Amino acid sequence: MAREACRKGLGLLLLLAAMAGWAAPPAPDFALRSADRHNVRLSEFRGQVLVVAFWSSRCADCDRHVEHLDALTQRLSDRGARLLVVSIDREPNAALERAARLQAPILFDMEREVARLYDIGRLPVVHFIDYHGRLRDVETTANGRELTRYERTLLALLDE
Amino acid sequence: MDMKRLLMAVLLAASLGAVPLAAEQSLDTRMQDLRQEILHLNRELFMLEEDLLFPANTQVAVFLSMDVGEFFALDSVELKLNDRVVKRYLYTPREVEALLRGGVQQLYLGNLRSGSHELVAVFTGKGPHDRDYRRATSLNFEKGIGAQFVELKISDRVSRQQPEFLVREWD
Repeated sequence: MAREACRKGLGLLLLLAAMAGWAAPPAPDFALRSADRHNVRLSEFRGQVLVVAFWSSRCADCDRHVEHLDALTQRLSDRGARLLVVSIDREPNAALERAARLQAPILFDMEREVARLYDIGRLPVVHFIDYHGRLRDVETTANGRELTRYERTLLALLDE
Repeated sequence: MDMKRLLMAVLLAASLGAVPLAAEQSLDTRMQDLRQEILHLNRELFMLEEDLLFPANTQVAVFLSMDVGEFFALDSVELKLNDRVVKRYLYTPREVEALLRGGVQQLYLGNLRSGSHELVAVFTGKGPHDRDYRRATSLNFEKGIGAQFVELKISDRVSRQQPEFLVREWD
């Protein structure tokens, strides 16, 4: 009796877990040119937990966020964490300077097609994409507490 | 699509809840069967979706393939149909590798009415001696009743040490 209850409980838990993940929409796919002149496609990172941070030289908070995420994803890289920084500047120069100081690739979205695809309204904005390529979380606040939340969100996705 | 996922989740949970204790060892087999059924269902839904969105009488599909690739490293393709850009595609090194291994990519799938049409494909990449290379090729075709398939093929022309860009209709 107890085992059957356990089994049903497990089934229910699995159902809830499956629904939480499956209900998440797939992250829109895109391909952009990177600072090292390679083309990078989002869907090729399937099987890794991806953090996509939109960046602009005009955004005062973006540098701090991107640097924090770069260090965080480097630390968790052996568990499958990756960071992609998408620059929405119309000119590549500032992003190229920034790229020299980051481990993560910087991608150029000068036409802002990807920004439109992801409906970017304000910066900084950070998207979290799970192992299956589903968009699981979007962080838009910049009050200082989000840096802790980034780690929590990333660890939760890596643990799935 | 979300409804489909929900249905899969319900099927999964129903399956787990309904398994009697005595049949625990067969759980893996049942999960495997269920997974196969879901994959089959998913494939059928995909085909149904394509049939509805791109009916055979208006469907036009453009494929891209590569052969050898010593004289051209593909970077991107821009596809225009009747002077309207319908597709821009950037190729990653992994995608180029797949094409060089014999893969054929469905670059574009859309609808066109019957009549005369012009297709223009603009290829960019690195040509011989690592120089930036940009080349266009075009095809005028008559769209009749039934699906229209066009293939873009990039191959090497060894005699001229140059890449060659071919476009042809599939019968």
